Amino acid sequence: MMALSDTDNYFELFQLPEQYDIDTLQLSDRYRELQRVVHPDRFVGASAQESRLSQQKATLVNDAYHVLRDDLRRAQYLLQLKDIEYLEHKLNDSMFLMEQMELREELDAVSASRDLDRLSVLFSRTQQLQQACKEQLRLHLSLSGDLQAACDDVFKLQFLNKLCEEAEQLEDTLY
Amino acid sequence: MALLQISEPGLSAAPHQHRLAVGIDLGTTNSLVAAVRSGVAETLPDADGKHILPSVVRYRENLSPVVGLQALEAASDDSLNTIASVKRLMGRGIEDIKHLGSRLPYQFVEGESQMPRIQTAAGEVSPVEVSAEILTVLKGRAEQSLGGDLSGVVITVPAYFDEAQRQATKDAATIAGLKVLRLLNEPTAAALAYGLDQGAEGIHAIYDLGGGTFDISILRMQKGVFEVLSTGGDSALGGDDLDRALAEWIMEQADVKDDAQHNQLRHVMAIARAAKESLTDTDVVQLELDAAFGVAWHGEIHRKEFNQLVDNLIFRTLVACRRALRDAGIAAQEIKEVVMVGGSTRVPLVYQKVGEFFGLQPLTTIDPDKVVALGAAQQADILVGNKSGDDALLLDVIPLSLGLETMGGLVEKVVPRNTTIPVARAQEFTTYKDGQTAMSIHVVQGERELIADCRSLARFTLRGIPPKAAGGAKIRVTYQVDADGLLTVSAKELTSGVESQIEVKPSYGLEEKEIETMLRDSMSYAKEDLEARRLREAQVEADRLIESVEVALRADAKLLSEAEYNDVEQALSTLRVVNQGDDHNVIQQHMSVLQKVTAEFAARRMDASIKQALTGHQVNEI
Repeated sequence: MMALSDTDNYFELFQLPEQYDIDTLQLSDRYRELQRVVHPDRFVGASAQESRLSQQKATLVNDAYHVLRDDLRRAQYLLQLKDIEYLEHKLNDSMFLMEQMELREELDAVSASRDLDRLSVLFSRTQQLQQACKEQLRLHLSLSGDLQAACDDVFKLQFLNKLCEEAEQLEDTLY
Repeated sequence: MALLQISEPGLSAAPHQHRLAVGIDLGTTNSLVAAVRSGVAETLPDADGKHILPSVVRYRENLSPVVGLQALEAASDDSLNTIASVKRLMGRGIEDIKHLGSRLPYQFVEGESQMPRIQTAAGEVSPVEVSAEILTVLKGRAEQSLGGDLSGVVITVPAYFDEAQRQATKDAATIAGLKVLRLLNEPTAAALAYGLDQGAEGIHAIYDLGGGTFDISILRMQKGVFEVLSTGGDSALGGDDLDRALAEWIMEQADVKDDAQHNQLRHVMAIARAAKESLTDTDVVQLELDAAFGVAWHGEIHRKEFNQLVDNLIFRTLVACRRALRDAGIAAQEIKEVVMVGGSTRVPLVYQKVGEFFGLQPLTTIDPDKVVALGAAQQADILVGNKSGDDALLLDVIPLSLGLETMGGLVEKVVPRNTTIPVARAQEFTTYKDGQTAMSIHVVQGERELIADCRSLARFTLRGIPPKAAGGAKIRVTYQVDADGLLTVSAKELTSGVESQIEVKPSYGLEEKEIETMLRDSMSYAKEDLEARRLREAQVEADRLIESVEVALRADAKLLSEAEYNDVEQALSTLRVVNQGDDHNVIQQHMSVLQKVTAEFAARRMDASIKQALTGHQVNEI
């Protein structure tokens, strides 16, 4: 999923420092402040031109908020701003990949047994791994950070998020 | 209580005229219209003092249709010509209706378009036309009560309504001669009614069990901004289903067969509904089937038995609640209040189960039958511009994921459900055959992975792709959803720049031409000359443009150079002059001129206001 506007810097739009750590309260406050000004509902009686402009700006503000508030998307965006090709990145971590295979097998087993307790164990394990991954991201995306290592983290977090998503879908079918 | 303002004759009290706008709750079972008067939202009664209009239309041969209570009373006697719960048919194709069950007591006919039509004594009617009849009655009532023409309406729809159902609702409004300011999700309307009344802050859940639909919405209200975090529900589950569960039980007890006459089924449904309502206050209800409708039978039902019949239906609503909480990323304990909407939330078991699920006493201080209409009236009042800029702002989401068909009948999601609108998302695809020069794009809506399980919205083809090896072309498909939830899809081949786009009009919608014909046929425009109507519309639009440019100049002339300012002034005064004339083409022409010279000005103003918004913020923080 890519952003439509390549020219606007999301951090600048929200007047926030261009870094991984973000003050989420400040972010959501500014999101509301910006939408208050640009949202199409503020331009219902306005000319077609102003409506179109407000539509564009409100879309941009929504896109930016969507990216900035999510840890993975924000990390990807930072790499993109630094011209790092994280999409082409290959992960060389057999330990991690083994663990993923094991987690996926566990998900299949839960699906077969319809065991909700076992599912919640899987959930908390995945969440721990996600948390650890985000800690690494914070480190690797800091000023003195290792951007190639950050690409590894992004790759891993994508894996874990996908697993989590599938576990949630499974949970839906178990209720 | 707010006092009425009275201005001197010939003098207007406000800088611009107070515009008349109403909110309409177009419900499955009942409909209501409400307006904000002297700062207070209230539902508007008919001449007999009744606020609720049953959503029932009875068609008669050579006579105009009857809408409301009178139609409802005839439902058992004249069931084939009396259309109830038409909302369930809105935006549905013949196939969908077969799914809804053969229990619907109408005779459907297949027309030229995909839309089903119902055979009545007054000829064939579409669900959209039936809804338009209900809207026409409410429009008349509002204009009578408020004493003038309506500038616009906000009509509520279930959050879970898909694109086709929304479009059908808009079409009905057009036929009724109403200008739709916005389709508003019902739960959001309810939240507005509570929030605007009480200035509530925090995260709220809105549980809305209406006649035919169930909706759950999670909203955050903060500093006057209502942010819909997620919505979910079931567009085919409602109070009618509780009635039906009880009706089926009665039929079993009374040995009434499934293939009984329509009027007998109607009779059993009516008995079931009345019993459900009585069971809110009493533990046991006597049931009596009238011999006049086929079988005479007497029995009784205890609340406990009723609870068992509907327990599974209520459980289904709680599953949807869980999903909505998860989509919002919110735990049940974070919910500050649960607002109950819809008559079916009066069922004690519903109240109890919802309370248990959220660990809260649900709120019912505003009449659950009226709360949606009241919220819609407040939103209409804001949108039409009767309030200042500091008022509540609503940030809504799309209820269902939008995607497209990929190889093997699979769906690729482009915009996931619960994404805040307006939004634009793009995704890249490629060709799968060597030398492929065209790509067919099939736009769908829904959560399932297989194309067959999703609703088809539109198809179009991108042609002129330069022939390359499979996987060589790069096609970027962009989905754009505006603040009204209207979708535009465009596709572009990136190496050649070839592009194509479509404004998505759902497959079961009415054709433009059909709407025009219905408009012409409808009473409201019969006497009016089309040219005169076009001129009036152009003048109103020009007035609006002139007003907005004047406001802009007063506020921000400093953003223009002297030469730019003069250009704007000139275009403005020319438009003022031609707007007095009687040629709508000339007016349109000069409107475009003015818009052209103010384009850059508008952009500068927008950027300035963005800076201003955050600067003000930072000053406050220090």
